[in-house]
Amino acid sequence: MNLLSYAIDSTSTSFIVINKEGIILDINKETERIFGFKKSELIHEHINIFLPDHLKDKHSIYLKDFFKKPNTKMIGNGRILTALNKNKEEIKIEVEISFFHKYNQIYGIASINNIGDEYKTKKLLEITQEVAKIGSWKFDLTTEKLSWSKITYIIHELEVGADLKIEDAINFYHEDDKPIIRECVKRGVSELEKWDVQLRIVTAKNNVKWVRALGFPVIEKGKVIGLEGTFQDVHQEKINEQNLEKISNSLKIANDELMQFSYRTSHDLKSPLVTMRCLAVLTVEDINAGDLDMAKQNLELIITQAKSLETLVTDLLNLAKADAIDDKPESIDFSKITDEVIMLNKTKAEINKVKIYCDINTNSEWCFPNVRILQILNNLISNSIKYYDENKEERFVKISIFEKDNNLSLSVIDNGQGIPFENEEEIFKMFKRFHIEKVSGSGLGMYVLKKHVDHLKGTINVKSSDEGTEINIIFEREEQ
Amino acid sequence: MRVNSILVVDDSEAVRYLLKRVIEQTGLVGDVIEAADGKEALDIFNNYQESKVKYENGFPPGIIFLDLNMPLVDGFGFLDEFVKLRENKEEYKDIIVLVYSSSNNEEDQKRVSSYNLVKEYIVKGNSGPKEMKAKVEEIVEELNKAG
Repeated sequence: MNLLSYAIDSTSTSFIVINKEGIILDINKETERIFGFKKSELIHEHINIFLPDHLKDKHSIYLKDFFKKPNTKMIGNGRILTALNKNKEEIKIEVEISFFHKYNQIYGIASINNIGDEYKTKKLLEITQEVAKIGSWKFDLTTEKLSWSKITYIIHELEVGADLKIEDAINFYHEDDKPIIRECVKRGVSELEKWDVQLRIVTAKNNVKWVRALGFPVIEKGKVIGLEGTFQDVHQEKINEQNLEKISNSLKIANDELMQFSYRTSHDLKSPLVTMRCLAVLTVEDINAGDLDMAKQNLELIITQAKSLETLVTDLLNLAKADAIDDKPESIDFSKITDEVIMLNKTKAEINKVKIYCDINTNSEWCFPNVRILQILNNLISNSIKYYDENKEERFVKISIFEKDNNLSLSVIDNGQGIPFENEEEIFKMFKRFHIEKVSGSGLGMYVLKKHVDHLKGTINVKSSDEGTEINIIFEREEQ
Repeated sequence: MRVNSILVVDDSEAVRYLLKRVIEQTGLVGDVIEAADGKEALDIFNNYQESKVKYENGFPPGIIFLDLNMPLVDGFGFLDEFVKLRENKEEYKDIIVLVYSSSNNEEDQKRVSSYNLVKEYIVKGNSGPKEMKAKVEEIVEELNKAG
């Protein structure tokens, strides 16, 4: 074996010598490695052994043509070709074919490079980029040429290959984010700084998308000659992140509310219980001392405390219901529901000498969960009756329900003591009370009411003074 | 100072009654003044001359029993305003506050301790009428001695 033979066996190119019938006459070691055949298995076999069935006929014609007019050339103009190995697995190859004459015979020689590994890696990278929605970009500072990869065009929803200048690329950024990317580019060039920012772009199809833009300066001989980077579509991740943040914030609010709720509930439940215990101790003392008048006074206070506790427990139950109500909307009969609320408050109204007036004028159908409307009305009316003004002779509460401009207005006006609030939000705070004389208030009524109104997407407006209180609740008809 | 009267600030009528009775049983104090929330209590102090006439057995009070959770102006709201008020009123400088609340919340206790005029935080229910009476006696006697 001469040196050239050793060299041919050591090269990473496969060589196959065939005759003009396409029969394999010789191969080198690399051919065995690429195709998995032993030399003895290939000698005298047809070159078509490496081809998929559907290409065999075409290849035979090609071979005939080649030997008619032999020349050296890349098969398929340098395209990547598919061949089969011994296990009938497809491999990607590049083939150059040439010829030589010996003993008055013409022989063909195929030089084959297995580009499978390189191809697979490139293809895998392309797939990864597509799946991860990562594109790349390059900007040459000398020529001012901007190049984008296919994915970068896709992210921008722009035709692949469209001609672009750096300014065009920056103009894709959202107005609010343009100054940020300009600053990144500026610092990249002047301070040699890398950047990694998440910004919004407005695509060619006018869609706003969140992208992660990474960039760095390309330095040659200590001088910045360009900028390069990647471009990733992170829109869905960003939206998920924002949603998660929203959920996390609302959970935090709910948790704070729960903490406040448990603190105040335990306090407000404990307070009357402790007082009742002390009063009971004093009652026993008074009875032992024969002072029945004092004992009676103590017992009356115990009754007041028990009532206060009862109110609190009822309101707590209503609050629990406010979150757990069956939300099936049904057509509301406002006359019926108002009568029901008036009946619930009739005795208290008679005791406090508060007259209830009603004006209901609705022509179309309004659908709400019945219990929520009942609790809203009951809360407002019972408050008006509870916080009456004893200095006023003609005490009243006026309920008015009517439609205006596709809205439903639910208003309750009284001439009670009024609510001495500084700002409207204060009224709807959990456990907020405004009337010191009325110990039976739990401070939960208006909080529950607000919960219901918010749930039904309504708005509340409160006006109050010494003259009385006017509460208006507006529900807009939802578009079907 | 000599404790001639005690102010009880609590929105619960029953608590005011209880404290008033316990204080009166000690026989050490001439008058028990009542306020149903921080605002009523501040009104009493803001109207010094009127209050001096109204509570003839002793105004200003030497001790304030103060609830924390009250409508309108709560215990903290009262303390904030009263601290400012007594800076300009010599007669109020020796008044001490005993917080009397159902809350045994650590945060409340920590917040209360930042006010120098608060001498004690008593959790409602930890002491019955007898113990409360003993406590009032102890504090009043101590203040009277010091005065």
